[in-house]
Amino acid sequence: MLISRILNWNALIRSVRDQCFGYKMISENLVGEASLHQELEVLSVSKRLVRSLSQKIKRKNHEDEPNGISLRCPALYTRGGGCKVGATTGDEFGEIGCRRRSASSIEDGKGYKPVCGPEDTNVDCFSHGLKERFRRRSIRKAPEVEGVHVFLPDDIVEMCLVRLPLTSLMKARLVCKKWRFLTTTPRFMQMRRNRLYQSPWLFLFGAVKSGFCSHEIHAFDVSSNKWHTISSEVIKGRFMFSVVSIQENVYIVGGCSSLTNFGKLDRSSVKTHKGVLVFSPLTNLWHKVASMKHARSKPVLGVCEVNSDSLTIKTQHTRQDRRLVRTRINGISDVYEDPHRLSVRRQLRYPFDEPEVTLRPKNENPSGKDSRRFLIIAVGGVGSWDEPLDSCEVYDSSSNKWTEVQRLPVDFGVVCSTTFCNGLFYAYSESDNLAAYDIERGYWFRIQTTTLPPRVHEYYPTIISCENRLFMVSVSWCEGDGQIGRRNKAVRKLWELDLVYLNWEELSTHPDAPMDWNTTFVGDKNMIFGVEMFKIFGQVLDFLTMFDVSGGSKNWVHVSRNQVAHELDASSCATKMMAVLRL
Amino acid sequence: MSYSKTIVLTNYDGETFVVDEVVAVEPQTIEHMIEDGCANTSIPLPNVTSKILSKVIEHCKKHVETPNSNEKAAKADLKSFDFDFVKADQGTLFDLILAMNYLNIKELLDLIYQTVADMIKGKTPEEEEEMRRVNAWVFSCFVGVTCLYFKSKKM
Repeated sequence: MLISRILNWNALIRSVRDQCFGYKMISENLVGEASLHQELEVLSVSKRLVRSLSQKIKRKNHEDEPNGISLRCPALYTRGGGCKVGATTGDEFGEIGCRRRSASSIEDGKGYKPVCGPEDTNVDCFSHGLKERFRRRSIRKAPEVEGVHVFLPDDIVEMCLVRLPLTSLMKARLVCKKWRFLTTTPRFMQMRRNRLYQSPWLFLFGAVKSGFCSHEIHAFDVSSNKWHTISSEVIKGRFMFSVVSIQENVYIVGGCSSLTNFGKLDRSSVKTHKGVLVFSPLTNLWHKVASMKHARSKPVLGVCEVNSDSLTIKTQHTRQDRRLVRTRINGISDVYEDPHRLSVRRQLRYPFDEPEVTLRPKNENPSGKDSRRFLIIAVGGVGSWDEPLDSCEVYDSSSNKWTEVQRLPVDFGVVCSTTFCNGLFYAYSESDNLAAYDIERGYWFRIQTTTLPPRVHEYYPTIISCENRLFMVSVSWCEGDGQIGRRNKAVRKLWELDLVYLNWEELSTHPDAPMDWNTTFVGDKNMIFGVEMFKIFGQVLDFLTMFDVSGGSKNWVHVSRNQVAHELDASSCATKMMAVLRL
Repeated sequence: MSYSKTIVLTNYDGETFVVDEVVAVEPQTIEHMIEDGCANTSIPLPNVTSKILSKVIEHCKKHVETPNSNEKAAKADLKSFDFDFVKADQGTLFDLILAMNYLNIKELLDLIYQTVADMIKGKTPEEEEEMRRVNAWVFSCFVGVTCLYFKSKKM
């Protein structure tokens, strides 16, 4: 695409030159850059344009000189109406700045074919082209083809284009400048977002290929049932991070990378990260946001959008709390089993002396484009010394800051999943405790459910929220009372917590046998997506399933089978992470 | 509505259509005209041809007659009707869009937008450009640019 534009540019230069020859305006006299500048400025052309043009001319001259042809055209751009160039000019200037660099590299490679044919050139005067650039929405005459005089207003085109799925939209942008312009405005994107024309995309992170943490992100477009691969060097070598999706971005939080074998999935000596990266799939760009207070790998993340501007985040930073438990404990052991009960003691202090920090968003939003504020909560995870953490921090997008908040309740157990539902962050622990964090009041409280879904304890449950309902996926025995028997088989079940009566109700049974210990389930609007990846018979298989919580059917739907994992290592089953975005 | 009043619509060709008011208020433009009291004699619709207007009236009638219930059969019937409705050739569809834009019938507008989007969907830029050129659709400017662009691309 770029090449073609450059070719267009070259064609323009050629045509300009040809025109000059045609008008017999060749002058071998040296007319310096200065005069060109002057004349251009008389015409009140933007300085940038002047610069780019003169540079272009200079380069051209330089190139032509060996052939004995020197292009010196004093009256080239000064003749307001006389100089004819291709219709492309006006528009090409808009992006000349970014293209200039690559133009030089291409210039000598390709032969310049005359692109401006007589039938499709739309020969136009330069000044008109300029006008076009500054006043893009000028109304032109509708073209007459096959005798039909037709003209669709921009707003109708826009309304049609806004309904396209992302992949088609990206293609539509290539059709012409007009469409590109129409589809890249913030208003257009906002309209797309508001009218729910977006479709879910699943992003699969943490793939491991032949021992190395792959730089590939696999993206699955649910609407067109197609996998795409995105290559990004940024997360290469990082593993055991957690991802969470917010609006159109994916936040990659924490994780670790090997110190001795960089890029390898090697857990012998690792550096645990505090950093948070943001990936925006629409632009394929990465940027960093504020780092967490503590390094964490595999933190449990939850995200919520906040509407009120004056929400306060209660912090907890007293001196005792700052002290980390720097004991080297093996990865599996529980912090609650430490003999001195450090965490308990810390917890028992009265919370009255907690200072309170009010995070009020500034009036001028730094990002400007998205004024929506959201919070990410990072709970637990594994720290730099392989110790399981029970601390929690909250990231506020409006202030770009992580704030430490109250720790998990005493004897809560290792947190395995968290989600945001109805104004509360819910957390579920491996020891079947449910707690909720109230952001406004700033504390955790236990939730005692009347029933406890029976589950196989080797599989950790996941809690998901969809449409303000709280769900849990856990594995239980189909028959019997939890004893492993011959006829018993394990099934994955979806439970819903009645938020009023606080009892779990069985909603549906997952069709697949639970093979993956680390199945990831993510909720998005009214859908729950799950990805299972496991190695069997020397092959890594992957299954993507989908469940509609609002629909009447209680069945899971397979959306993709065995399309990505076959070239991945078995360890990707453990490191994989999934995020769902509406794009 | 208890009373049945008729509205006379005059189109571009000078033909007149007599429709029930219930049907006529489907397009918001006409509804507003009636509200403003400009509909005492007949409503002129100068930029809608008779072919399109009859199609629009047919659609409005269908949507008014179909009870606004959750009945599955009725919904399915309406859906199939809509499906057939937009299965017109592109020229007609194009005229419909313009008429719809003028008459401002939200449902129908949505339906047609979606149809056009579906037509664009799954096409490569070249195909799309071809489609646009043949049908002279959506072509407000930069014909030359597009042609140049793809010519050079194919080079």
